[in-house]
Amino acid sequence: MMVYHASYFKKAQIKIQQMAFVLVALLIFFSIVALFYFSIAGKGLKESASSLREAEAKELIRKLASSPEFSFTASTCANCIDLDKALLMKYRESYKEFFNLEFLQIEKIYPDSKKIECDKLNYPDCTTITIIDSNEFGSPKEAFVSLCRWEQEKSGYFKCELGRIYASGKGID
Amino acid sequence: MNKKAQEEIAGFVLIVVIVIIISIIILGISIRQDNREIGESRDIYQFLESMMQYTTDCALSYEPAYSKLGELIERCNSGLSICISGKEPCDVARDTLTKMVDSAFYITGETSLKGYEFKSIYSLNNSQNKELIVVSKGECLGSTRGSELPIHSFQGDISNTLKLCY
Repeated sequence: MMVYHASYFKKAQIKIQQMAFVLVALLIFFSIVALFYFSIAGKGLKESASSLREAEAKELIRKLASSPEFSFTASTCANCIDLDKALLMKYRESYKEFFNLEFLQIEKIYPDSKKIECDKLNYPDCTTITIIDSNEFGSPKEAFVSLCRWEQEKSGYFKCELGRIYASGKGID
Repeated sequence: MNKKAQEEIAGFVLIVVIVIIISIIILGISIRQDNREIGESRDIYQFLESMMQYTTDCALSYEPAYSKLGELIERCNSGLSICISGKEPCDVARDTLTKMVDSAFYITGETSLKGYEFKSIYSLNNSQNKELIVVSKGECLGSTRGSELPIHSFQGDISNTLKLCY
């Protein structure tokens, strides 16, 4: 009678052990799967957060382009920069502090031409206008804009070209 | 006893194999969806907006009243006007926008950008669709990033979409 009891308990113990091993194995397996899934999902979340920050910075730069100091008012265009105004701003020292930026540059990208900094002598046959350029600045953010100006040829007309505006500093970051 | 243990092991292995297969299928589907995702890009929208303002070398009435690229795409839809230089507005628009996209986005073997697709489609009350301009370069097999800029045109809308392929 006693022997029967011992055998019965031993068998039950083995069964419980088996069950416990299976449960532990399943738990480990699902934990690994969950870790893998959350690491991928977390990576995606980080990417979307950085792209949102990037988009926000681009919007701020575009806002800068539509400020009265830059905006082209001859036609209704939110993303047009008056290139004539931008050139004049380059020579006004008071604007260096006005935007709270460490770097501010406007670059013409189409029509293609050799990169030349604009000054009063070579304008408009040039590509870049650097308005603010402090010695130390972070990686500049950029946005596409239209660069509009008065073209003297053929009795004069407003001409818009494709460009980019680059900015870096506290006003953007 | 031995046979029963074998059956249990086989059952356990079967459950594990089924779970692994289901996990692989779910993971595969989610990764594939990520790759094919069309990301809406603010950058490309800004590019399209700026591109439409570009002053082309096509004057429709007199020189120097040169048309903007956006106006040429609209004229391309009507098909009634012709540039003073004798060129078709559609051809001028196609050439100009191809050069502009090439200048703004470099497609070389060294960059992650593999190609692009630009489409201008005129739709009349969302029913009849007419392709006005279609320009593409490179290959478009992987993930894409793009944006759409609609222009209101006579009795309908022109949808301008640019898709960059990576």
